[in-house]
Amino acid sequence: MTRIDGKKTVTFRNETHTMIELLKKKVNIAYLPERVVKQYAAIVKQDIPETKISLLDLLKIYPVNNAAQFEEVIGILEPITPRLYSISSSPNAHSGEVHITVARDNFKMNGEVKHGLASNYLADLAVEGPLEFYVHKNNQFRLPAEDKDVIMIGPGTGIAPFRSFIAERDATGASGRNWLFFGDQHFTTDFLYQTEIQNWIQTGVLTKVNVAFSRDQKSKIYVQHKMLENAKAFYEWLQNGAYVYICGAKEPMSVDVEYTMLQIIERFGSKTSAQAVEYLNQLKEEGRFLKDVY
Amino acid sequence: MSTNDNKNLSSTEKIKMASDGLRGTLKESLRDEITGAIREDDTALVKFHGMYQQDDRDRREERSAKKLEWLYSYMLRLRLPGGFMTADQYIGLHNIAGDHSTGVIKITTRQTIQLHGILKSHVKPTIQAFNTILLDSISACGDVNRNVVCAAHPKFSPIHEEIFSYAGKISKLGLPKSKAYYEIWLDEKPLLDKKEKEEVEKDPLYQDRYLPRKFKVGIAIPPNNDVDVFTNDLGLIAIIENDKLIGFNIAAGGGLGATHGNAATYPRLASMLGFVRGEENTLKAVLEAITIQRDHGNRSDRKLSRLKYTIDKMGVEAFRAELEKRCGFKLEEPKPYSFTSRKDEYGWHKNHEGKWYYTVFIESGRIADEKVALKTALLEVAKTGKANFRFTSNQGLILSDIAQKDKKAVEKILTDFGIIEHTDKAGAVRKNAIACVAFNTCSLALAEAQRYLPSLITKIEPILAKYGLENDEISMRMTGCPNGCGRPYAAEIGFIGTAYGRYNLHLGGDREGFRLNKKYKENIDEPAILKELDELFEKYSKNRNSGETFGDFAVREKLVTI
Repeated sequence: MTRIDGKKTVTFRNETHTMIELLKKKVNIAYLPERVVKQYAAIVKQDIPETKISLLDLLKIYPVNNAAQFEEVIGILEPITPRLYSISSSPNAHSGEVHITVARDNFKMNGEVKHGLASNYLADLAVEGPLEFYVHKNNQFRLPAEDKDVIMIGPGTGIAPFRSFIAERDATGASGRNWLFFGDQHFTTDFLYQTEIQNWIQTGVLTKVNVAFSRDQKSKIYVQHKMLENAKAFYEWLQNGAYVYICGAKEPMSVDVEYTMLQIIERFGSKTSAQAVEYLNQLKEEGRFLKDVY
Repeated sequence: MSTNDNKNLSSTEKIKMASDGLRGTLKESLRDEITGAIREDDTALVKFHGMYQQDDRDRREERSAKKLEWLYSYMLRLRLPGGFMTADQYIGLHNIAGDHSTGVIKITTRQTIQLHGILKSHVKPTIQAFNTILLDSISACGDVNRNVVCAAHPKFSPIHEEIFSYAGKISKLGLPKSKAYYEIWLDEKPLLDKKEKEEVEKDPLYQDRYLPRKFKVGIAIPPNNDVDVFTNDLGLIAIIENDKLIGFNIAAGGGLGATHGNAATYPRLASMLGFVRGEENTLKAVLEAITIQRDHGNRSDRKLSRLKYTIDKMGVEAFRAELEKRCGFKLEEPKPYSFTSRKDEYGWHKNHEGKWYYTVFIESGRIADEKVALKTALLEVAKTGKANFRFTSNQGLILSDIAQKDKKAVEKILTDFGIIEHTDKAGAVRKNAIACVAFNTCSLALAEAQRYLPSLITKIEPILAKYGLENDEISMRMTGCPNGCGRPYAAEIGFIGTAYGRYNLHLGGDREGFRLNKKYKENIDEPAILKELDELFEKYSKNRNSGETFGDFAVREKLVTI
């Protein structure tokens, strides 16, 4: 289809690879963004609707004329971007292991179910198979001193860093209290690390857990609703010096959660909305309000 | 008060007594967000409210690997004395099953309905929905007087209605006085005044310990024994003279549960005690039989706590004497009666008033849209409002009390959905078979039952046909464990699960319910079952006496020693 020799070496962004290696490992060919599709259309001189589409489908529907044209296409492809995942294990609890928490991304394109590139790659990875990765340090989003209370708000895969936090505090016997808010769609299928969380409640490392499953009832219930249900205790924890962490979707989750915190501070701290904002800013300055959202 | 030595009360006894009228910590258990289960002690108490905590046993491994807890859910069973429901109630039941459970409406062997797979968060809405159609699940499970069964088919007697009313009366006299059900599930305000609460909830029958074990009462109307009356703790046989109900023969001590490898446990049919005349005396005798069991039943070993063991320990004569003492009257000699059948009468029948009844074939009592659109069809019938729903102890359903002018409309629905053809076409053995639930939800199951028996019968049918026995109504019953919910010990052929895919094969029960079967082969798999049955059916077809049933043949040929 490409009319090109797979073993042929090509230069792509100052690196030389065989064509096979390049297409397999370096460039994104799964779902090309619209900007790339547009450039492809220019190369093959055809009208192509601007939509996400795989390189394979493009080649099938709008074939290239010859190998030279394909090499031109190579030039417009974009490298695969690295994915950053929060580590969900603790060196003290899971010695010699690094865990990550990945949701397989499923979406529909033209009525067909497709999987996200990286999550699908990880899901299909053979046990014991090799994986290339690097560690990206985050110096802010870390546990406070061992005697400090921690409130963790991590719906969905946002639970990842908190699993490592709790496992760490469990393993080291940290004295601070720990409160977890978790949420997802369905209680029966989406309660990530449910049995671990139950054990942590039993052993006492987790002081409180509140969960919200949005699709189990007619009205959607999210973590912020659970925060409101426990607003009084939430504010008491804040007043007591608790650190608050949020991890997960930037929008709408982290926005809603932040807004809810302001409401709680207003109501239970008897503050005006401006004072509540100030209170939250103060928390941020003290490094007691940390977000890892995406 | 207790006359037996119950120094070592079982843990369940302690839970009951400490439960504050069956409340336990159920409210707290319901509030716990991080588990679909309830607290361990509450699992014993929730039974008294009509539920069992179960989990999907098919999915345990998969869920453990995902760090998810077992998929807990609740089976909710209705209290439905005599198995009767109006069309409107059936519509409600249909909707509730769809909204909150797996959707399958399961007719039990005790003439009631149970729904499976209700998640903890759905339990209260389910019970509240049932409450709006005047149905409840109080005492459907637990150590109390369970659902009272009564001969289902109104055609058997012009005074069926009168006899049937006893089911409701006996159910009522056996209800606990505790208001816990209304508080926990229906959000009724608790009585805060301690004295008032004590007064309202004072329970002379159950006190604070309830019964040592479940207690089952069945009422039969001769000549049909569809309720398998002798398998009940207390069996009442209606005695009718000159078209009038004069009273009941009372038998006591039936019960089928046993435990593999525990020789002290056994299935037992009820022993005939005598005849009781009139309603007042009948209800008194039932009540006092329950109080004897309350006071004398074994409360330390739950495997030995049914009335049958109490009676065998006391002796039947002593039990009768105690009953007469507590009642303040003597029992008369049992009146003559006869049972000629135990089965459901499929198809159309007309009663003495000219009303019509259609008995539907429902395999293993599972109302669902599978081979035929049974569930949809029954909903359509219910929507006409022209039939009542009567469930039978054979896991069957009678669409009942249909006026002559309405018969056509009901018949059209049944014909259009293929229900009549489905009923007519089903083989004799299949129509009379019973299977318990077993996998995937019953925690006691060792082997499959309702998911397996239909396919086993499909393999047995050609063997029957080979020997010309396809119209022989041999009773065949299967349970996934030895506890006897499907009454396998009272069948001509009983399959009792021992391990996955393996069953004990029992033979020699009669067709009317007077004789239990015995174990013929142990722990055999399907090929062995089919081989054994092939040999047995061949012998039976060649050597049977005229009109001899398979069960009677097995006894006469000494295939088992009864």
